[in-house]
Amino acid sequence: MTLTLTLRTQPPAPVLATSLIPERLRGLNASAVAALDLRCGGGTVAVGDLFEVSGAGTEEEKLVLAGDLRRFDWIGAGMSRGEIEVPGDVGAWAGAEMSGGLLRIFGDAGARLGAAYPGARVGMTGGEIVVSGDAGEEAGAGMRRGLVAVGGQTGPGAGLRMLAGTVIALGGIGAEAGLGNKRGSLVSGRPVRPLPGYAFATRFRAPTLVLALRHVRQLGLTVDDRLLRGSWARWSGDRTELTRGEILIFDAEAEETD
Amino acid sequence: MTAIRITGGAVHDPANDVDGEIRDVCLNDGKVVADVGPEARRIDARGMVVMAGGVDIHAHIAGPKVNAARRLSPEERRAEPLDRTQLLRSGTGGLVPSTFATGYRYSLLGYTTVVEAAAPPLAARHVLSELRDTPMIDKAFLILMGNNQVLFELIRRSGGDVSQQLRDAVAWWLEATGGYGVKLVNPGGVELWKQSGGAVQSLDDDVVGFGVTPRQVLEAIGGAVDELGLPHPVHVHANNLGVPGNADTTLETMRTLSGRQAHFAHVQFHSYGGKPGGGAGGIKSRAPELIEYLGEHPEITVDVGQVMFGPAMTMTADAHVSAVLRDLDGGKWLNHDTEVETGCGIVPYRYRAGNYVHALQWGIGLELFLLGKDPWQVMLSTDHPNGGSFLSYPKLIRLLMDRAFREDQMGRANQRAIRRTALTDGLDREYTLNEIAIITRAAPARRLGLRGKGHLGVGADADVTIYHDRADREEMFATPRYVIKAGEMVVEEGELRAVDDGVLLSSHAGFDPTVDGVLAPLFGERYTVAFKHYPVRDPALREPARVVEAGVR
Repeated sequence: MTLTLTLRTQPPAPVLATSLIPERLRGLNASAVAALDLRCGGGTVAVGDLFEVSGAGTEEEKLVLAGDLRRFDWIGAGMSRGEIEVPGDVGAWAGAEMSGGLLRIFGDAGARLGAAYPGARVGMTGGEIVVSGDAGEEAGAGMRRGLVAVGGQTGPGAGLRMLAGTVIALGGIGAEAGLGNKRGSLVSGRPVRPLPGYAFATRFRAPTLVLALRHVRQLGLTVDDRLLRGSWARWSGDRTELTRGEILIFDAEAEETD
Repeated sequence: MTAIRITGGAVHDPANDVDGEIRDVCLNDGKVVADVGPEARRIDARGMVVMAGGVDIHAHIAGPKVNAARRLSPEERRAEPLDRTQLLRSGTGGLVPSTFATGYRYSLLGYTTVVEAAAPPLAARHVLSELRDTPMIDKAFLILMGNNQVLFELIRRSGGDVSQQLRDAVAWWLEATGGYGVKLVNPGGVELWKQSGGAVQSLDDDVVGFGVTPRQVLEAIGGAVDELGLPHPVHVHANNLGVPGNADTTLETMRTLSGRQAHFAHVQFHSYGGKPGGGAGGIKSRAPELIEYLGEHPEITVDVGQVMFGPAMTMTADAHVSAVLRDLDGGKWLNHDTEVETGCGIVPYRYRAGNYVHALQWGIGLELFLLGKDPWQVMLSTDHPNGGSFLSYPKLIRLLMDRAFREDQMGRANQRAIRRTALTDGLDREYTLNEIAIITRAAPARRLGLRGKGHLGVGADADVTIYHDRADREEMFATPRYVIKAGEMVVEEGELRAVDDGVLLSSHAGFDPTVDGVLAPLFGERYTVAFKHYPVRDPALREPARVVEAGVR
């Protein structure tokens, strides 16, 4: 059974949505979910005051958060299992510090998607975040494991101080991506100029990347066949750290000469 | 203010030789009194333990380094945040809670007086501002004088003796800042590191460029504090903290101050054997030697600076130590220079039970507690938050009181380290409740020269903590049944019921006002702050204060 929360009214202030994850709603019926308090600005607001709640919370199944959720931050943050589906847009910090499960966003995501808490070294440690639209700045910051896949573009600073894991931006990774990246992989479907901490390594066909791209296609992102067939430039970095991370950039020209 | 009669409790008041006697404690008008009338509120303390409010002689709770630690580790402050209520302000938690949360949480542990042990005098305004916003406890701060260039110059001029000018300058600084006592941190060594990256090898090293040695700083400042008769003697963080073989330095520092009253802070970090410059694997315990020295020198007291396994936030004026820690840890590090006066370093840290050095540090702390002969000399501290949060005191008390628990915890720590301590040599001592009362209130209060604190004799401040007498000492000390501060019931059953602002404790020693004429030019040559703007005069920062006069120790 799916638990569905449909936004009825916009909250008066930004809302901290950390408690809206399947594992914390497990075993709660609709009225119990409606009675939960969410942090809203300096105060609290009941879930039921903002959302129409239908269904009940089960651990295995899906939580759907419907409506314009741009004022809802930390959606899916800290989740370790289960699935959240968001048909629309979300605010900042979606999927931050996630350790497992799937967060599927069909609209745009705000800043610090799947990122580390301010000051923390480690952000996301597992799970998958798939965004059909664009993501804001510093997506995947501090990521240690897992996947952040964005159909559109990521803002500046994607993969900031990343430890490992993968950030894919089919529509192009923003400026200054991968600063301080240790072992992480950043993937850009459009040309981008890497930071000076990255050095061009090679141009190659990337079988593991093809697997990853097929996977995100299965999760509902539109992946152009050219990306699967084509050639990728690998840049190694960040040389201020271990130089064991990479930025893979789709090489459209190489594909044309094929 | 209502009168209170606490009846039927087992009173542990070692300062007045009361050891678990069932007797009434009467409070009126903020003081302990001999008797109160029948209209007094009666508190039934049958089956409970009654002690004076706790006194923390060495913690870091206010000032620029504490605030910098908050800024350096916002992620750490998420733990147990505090919501605003009708009565309480909101706050952040973790190892370095916000000011209000610090006050509330100390109170919830039954503490009523806390000393901020290292404040740069130049930052007195900041320290005072934060202490004013730290409710529930009376608070004092010690000002850093061990690396002050102006004092160096006065010491150089006197050839290392205690001159009249130096005594006046020390008294002037206390007056200018509202400080309670004098702290020396790695005397001479911080300035040496700031100037050259060097470290003190011997107490007779030249602090290059200033014409003084660490020994002269110890003798001159320690001597000045002693001669002024400040209520708290000089409070020393010796040179070479954390360095293998530093027990030599610590013992030499104690000998240097011999004949003078002195308090040595967090001696656990100063009790190491092994070769200086050798690897950390060669580090070993020399706690027994220190304890032996203390046995022969009642003029010296110490607090332990126990490390507790888990997260910590190292913060110190000993900037060099932080630089070393940073190299070990590779994580975040903040270094800060306070002009003319001191340094500062902060490194978030974690003590791991499986790590040889950390387990040894843990074992050395316990050795100091358990081998120590006179609990009046060996006081409880974790050097909060350097060895662990003050919130871990109840667990530390259980380690001292409960041998079975201690042995269980020893079994979880690095065995190579534990085997190299005296803990495995049948050290079966278990602290009594009276000994706990000594190391957590009576001895610190006496050593601070706070006559109204740490005991329950008639005339004492009505700061009282009442615990359920539980077999689990950690639980017992973590959740007092009642806490009374200045005669008012502030905590009941683990909840704050009323807010007391607490007062600032300052000390005062007379000095010749013409010392201004000596200090002004020395300031002018060194500080970016004008001499006339240096002293804190704002009554909003300095009051309400209780001033303890020097010379009556």
